This record gives sequence, structure tokens and C-alpha cells, in this order.
Amino acid sequence: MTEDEIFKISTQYRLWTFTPKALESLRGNTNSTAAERVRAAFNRIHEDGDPQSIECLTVAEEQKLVLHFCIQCLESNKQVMKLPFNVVATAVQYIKRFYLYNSPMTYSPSKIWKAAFYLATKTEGAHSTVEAFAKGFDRTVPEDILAPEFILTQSLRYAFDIRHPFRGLRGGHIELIALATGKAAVLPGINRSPSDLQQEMLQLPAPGSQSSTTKETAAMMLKRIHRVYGRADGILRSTAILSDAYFLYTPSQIWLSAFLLVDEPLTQWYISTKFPSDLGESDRVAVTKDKVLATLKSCAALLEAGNEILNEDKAELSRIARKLKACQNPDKVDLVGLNKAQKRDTTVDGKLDESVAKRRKLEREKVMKEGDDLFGPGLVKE
Amino acid sequence: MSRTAPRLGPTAPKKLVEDGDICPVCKSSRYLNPNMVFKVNPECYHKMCESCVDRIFSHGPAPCPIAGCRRTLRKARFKKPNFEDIQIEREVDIRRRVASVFNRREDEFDTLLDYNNYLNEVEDITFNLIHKIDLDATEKKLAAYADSNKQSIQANVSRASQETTSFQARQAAEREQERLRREAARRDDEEKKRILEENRRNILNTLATTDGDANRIAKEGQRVALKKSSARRALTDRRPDVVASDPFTAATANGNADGGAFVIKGLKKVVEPEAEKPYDPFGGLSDETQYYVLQDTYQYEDVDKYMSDVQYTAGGYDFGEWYSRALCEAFSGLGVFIGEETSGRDAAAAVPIAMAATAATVVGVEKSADDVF
Repeated sequence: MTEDEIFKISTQYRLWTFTPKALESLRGNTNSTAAERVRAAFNRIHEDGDPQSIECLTVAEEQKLVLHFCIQCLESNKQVMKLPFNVVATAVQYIKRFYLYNSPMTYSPSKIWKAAFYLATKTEGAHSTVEAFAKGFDRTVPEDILAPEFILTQSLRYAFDIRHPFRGLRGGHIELIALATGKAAVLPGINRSPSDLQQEMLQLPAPGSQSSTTKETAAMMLKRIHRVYGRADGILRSTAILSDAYFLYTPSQIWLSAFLLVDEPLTQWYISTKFPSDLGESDRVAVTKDKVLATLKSCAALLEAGNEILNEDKAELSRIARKLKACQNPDKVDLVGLNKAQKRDTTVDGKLDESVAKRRKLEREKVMKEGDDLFGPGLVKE
Repeated sequence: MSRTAPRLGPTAPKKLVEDGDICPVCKSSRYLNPNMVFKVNPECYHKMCESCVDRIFSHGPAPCPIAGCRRTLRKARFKKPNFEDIQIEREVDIRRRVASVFNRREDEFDTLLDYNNYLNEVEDITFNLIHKIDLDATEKKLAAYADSNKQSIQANVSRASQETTSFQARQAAEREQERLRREAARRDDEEKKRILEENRRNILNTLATTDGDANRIAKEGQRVALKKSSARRALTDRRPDVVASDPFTAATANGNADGGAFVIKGLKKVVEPEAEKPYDPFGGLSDETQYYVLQDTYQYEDVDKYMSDVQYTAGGYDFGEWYSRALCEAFSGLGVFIGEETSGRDAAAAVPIAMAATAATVVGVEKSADDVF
């Protein structure tokens, strides 16, 4: 199994990657379906009401709102929770995945994001009790966190494995260090020795300039690699997890494009060592390499654009929040109550369906009667 | 085919009664010689008594003494007929001869129809031989077939003999086991009797030598006897059973018959079983990598600092695993182009699933569809 095949069997590839077009149409679909449901729900409640009076969120507004809560999740980890970064990165991806198939109008992100965060602590192995976890937030009880959990897991299609680019970034880092010190193991098709590669690497131009005027020393190159690593890591930790990169690209493409964004000559050269043309089939390899580079460039463009979305417009956000308040689906406001109802067989009004109630009562009585006898019911007398 | 073949031998309807009792050569009858045995030679199937055979053929081949039959017979081929009716005797012989050549089995044919066609052809040959129709041509056919199919005939013969021997061996083993069981039961009985006898003698001895209460001594003796017998029973129970695993059940399954060219159509092609490949414990999976070559060690401060940390090394943490995982994740999916590879999938599969997912979660309470219980 090659590395690509390993990725292809993951749920991230099978269930959670999309073409840009598919992603857009999916969001549009979700938004229009949710809007319809909201209108239907309002019509049911106020039967004399005018259906046109409700103004629903647009796709762009929904995305801004979701992004806001993703950022809030990051912030709360930075200031209060202080959990490892992969936990909160997973939580953000859960939120983003959830709102592909659900609209904020249906399930309010202010309720979902904590549940997603808590679920991420469990899937990433940083588990704490729900009581301790709830203390990290204002005005939050354990029920608030647990109530949407089932809906959340269902919408995630029970795929909890998120493939992050962080570990891959470290893998690239250690290999670049090995290359810079001339100790790297070389791929079979490259007819150059490790020290040749090192010399080639030291000739590379600096990120800004075009021509290689100065030759660097190995120590300088190492410093450069560390610096690039640090900045790429920063990009991965902010814009990469908040943008749609996880839906559109693979983890290795994401970290390499972050590298490309920081130091283009180094990354270009590094990728060229990964596609040896000396092994035969040079045409096919070259085509693949060009395709990889094109993909990385488009991903880099996405990451670069992601910087802008980090600057939130407060006024705009509060406007959207007000709008959401008006068009929140009334059926789904009380998630705690809904969750309870599901567990206790009650309807939303807190009343049991008559036949169900009767059945339950009979069953309960039977169980109680049998439970009284330690050794089961007595023998039937003839 | 006609059924006008002339009947053989000296049997005429009139003499049916004497037929079995008077030798046609020496005219001696069973009345005078109750131990008289008749013999026939498959060459002409003329009956004659054993003493005539001895008399005429002990000096070598001689012509048949029956009038009108001039075939040369040899003593060695004379045999006691199995059937009273000599016609049947002859037919059985012919059938046996044909069957020994045409010994194909049903599982060698593709279809039942082919097998039946083959059987029909064999029956035609047999019929011709029995009724002497086209005798030369038929014999030639038989010989040609036997010649060209030597190998498969031989294979089928050995298959058949294997089956018989394994069957016989199984039967023999069963008989042997039966005998052992009986033997064991008999020994058991004897032992029981012996112990009973010994016990009685003991009681009598005790009664004679001591002056205790007779009742008590008898009771005591009985208790001892009970104890002994139960101990013995426990012993026999523990003894491994004589029944061993039957070595022949597995042997009855036969190997493949060897094939050869065959004139009769519909024969299955004999496929040589493929030579077994060396066992691959991973079922074709390899740890081959496409984009990197793993080294044993790397210089990396973030990891190196743990290498001297007892907390990590004591538990046997393998740093090589960390390197291999980091590098695998660095390049897994580098050559996967989502835009290309999922474009077909999105149109066909993902959207319906998506709709189903939304339907399941959003419709929710109205249909109470998310009641999983």
C-alpha cells in the first residue's frame, strides 16, 4: 500500500472531500432546505401569520456565523481550556463538517460548538468529565453539552477521524533537515548522492529573490528551514483549519502549500526531488508533478485568502446574530428538551402518546412484578 | 441390429435336463460321480467335466472335442462357470472385458448428456460383441480405444482399486475395534467376578478368625467391595477409549484422474492443479513507499530530547515508529487530486447521501425518525 492508497481508504477521503462546485451546491441545498423548514414551522405555529415576513439567512451569512464560532472555539482553548492543539483543530473540523449538512437556522452554532469541542476531547484522547468541561464556559451545564451530541455524531456520519496536516508537517521538517545536513536517504530514481542534493539545496535562492546570488552554509539553511516550518505551522493552525482546505485538499497538499506560501523556491525544489524522472515513464511523472504543483498553488491561494476571513466585522456579526434570532427554527430551539423527549418517549409538549403510555405502563408493571421475586416468577399452579 | 445370433454350445431344448448332469464328451453322469464339476473355456463356452479337461488338455493346447467346434483351447483358461446359463456367463465375461477398457467416470464429463452418450456408445459396442455383429470392426474399435487411452484407463483402474482398498481397510479397522471392545468388556467382567469372589473369601476369613458381630463384619465387607468397584469404574472411565481416529476417512477422497485425448466428446478438460505459491502472510500488502525512504534515525531536537528521557524509553517507545508515521502522513494523499477523482462521485453518490443525512437529522421530530430505539 502506498501512501496515497492509505489516504484513499480514510473516511476523510471517502465521505468528506468535495470538489469546489459540489461543496457550493451542497451548502446552497442545505440552506434552502433549512429555510423551507423554518417557514413551515413558523406557519404551523402562527397559523394566521404571513409566510413572507420571515427573512432567512443566506449561505454567506451562515458561513460567517459558523466561522465566528470556530474562532471562538480556538480562542476558548487558548484562554481557558488549554488542551493540545489537535483537539481544538478536530473540534473546528467537526463544526465545519456539521454545518455542511445542517444550517445554523436549524441548530444554533452557539449550542453545537461546545458539543463538538467535547466530542473532540474524546476522539483525540484528551478526555475529561463533562462536569469539569462545562465549568470552562459561562452559563453552561453538562446537559447543554451532551444534548446535541447524538445529532452531531449522526451528522458527522460517525466519521471521527480527522487527518490533520500537523504531523505531516513535522515529517517534512525532519526530512528537510536530513537533506540540509546531507544525510538524507535518496529515492531510488534520483541519481544523485545525498551530498549532491545538499549542494543543490544550498544553491537555492532566498524566498523573495529570483536568482541564486549567494551560496548558503548548511547552518544557514537549517535556520531557514526552521523558520519556514514555524511560519507554515502558524498558517496550518489558523487559516488552514478555518478555511475549506480540509474539504478540498489532502493533508499533505495542505502542509506543502503552506510551505509553498512561505518559501517557494525551497518547496519547489523539495517537490522536484519527490518525482524522480530518471526511472523511466518520465512523461507521466512530469505530468503528475505539474498537477501536484498546480494543486498546491491553488491550495496556497486559498490559504492566503483565508487571512482576510480572520478579520471579523463585529457590526456585521451582530446583525447576523439578530437575524438568526428571528429566523431560528422554533422546533429545534430547546435541544435539551428534545434530547430528553427522545429518551423518555415524550412528545415535545411533555405528554406521552396514549397507546405508547399504556404499553409502557404495562411493561413497567410486569417488570416490577418480576423484579420483586428474587428467583423469578413462581410456578404456575394447575 | 438384429437378435438373430445363433445360440452357442451343446444346449438344445430337448436335452435341457441332462445338460447339467451328463458330460457331453465322456458321457459320464452325475448319478455315478456326484463330485463331478463342469468347466468351460471362454474361447467357445462348451461345457465339459473336469476329468475330461485334465485328460485332453494336460499335454498342451488341443482342439475342442465337441463335434463341429475346432477351436484350440488351453487348460489354463478353463474355469468353473458362475451361471447355469452359459449365455449369461459369456455376456458377463464380455461386459467385464469392455468395462475394463471403457472405465470412464461420470465426473470426467461436462454434462450428464455427454456421459449418457458415452454410455450408449459403450453399450452399442458391448451389444455387438455379445451378439457377434460386426465382430471384427468392433474388436478393432475396442483395441484402438484401449491403445490410445492407456493412461486414463490405468488412472481410473488405480482410482478404483484405491477406493476398494481404502474401503476394505476401513472395514478391517472397524472389525478390529469391535474385537478390542469385546475383549475389554470380557476382561472387565472377569475382573468383576474375581473381586466379588475375593471379597467373599475375605469376609469368611474375618468371620472365622475374629469374634466380632457377624452382621457388622458382613456389612463392612460389602462396603469395601462397593468402594473397590467404584474405584475400578473410575479407573476404566479414565482409560483412553480404544476408538482411535479413523485414518481412512480422509483417504477416501480421490485425487484427480489423469487425462488424455478421447474420441468421445464432452470430456472435461483435466486442469493441472496450480503449483502452490509461497505463503504471503500480508495477502499482497507491502510496506513500499512512493515518496520517501525511511531512515533509521533523524536529527530532530523535538524528538531527540525524549530519547534520553527514561519516562519514554523505559516503556519501550519506538522512535522509529514516530518517524515512519510522520513521513507517511507527510505524503499520504500527495498524488490524490480530489477535484478530479471525486467529481463523478459527487454527482452520483454524495448528494443523495447528503440529502438522506439532512432528512434524517432535520426532519427529526415531525416524523420522530431519529428515535433509534
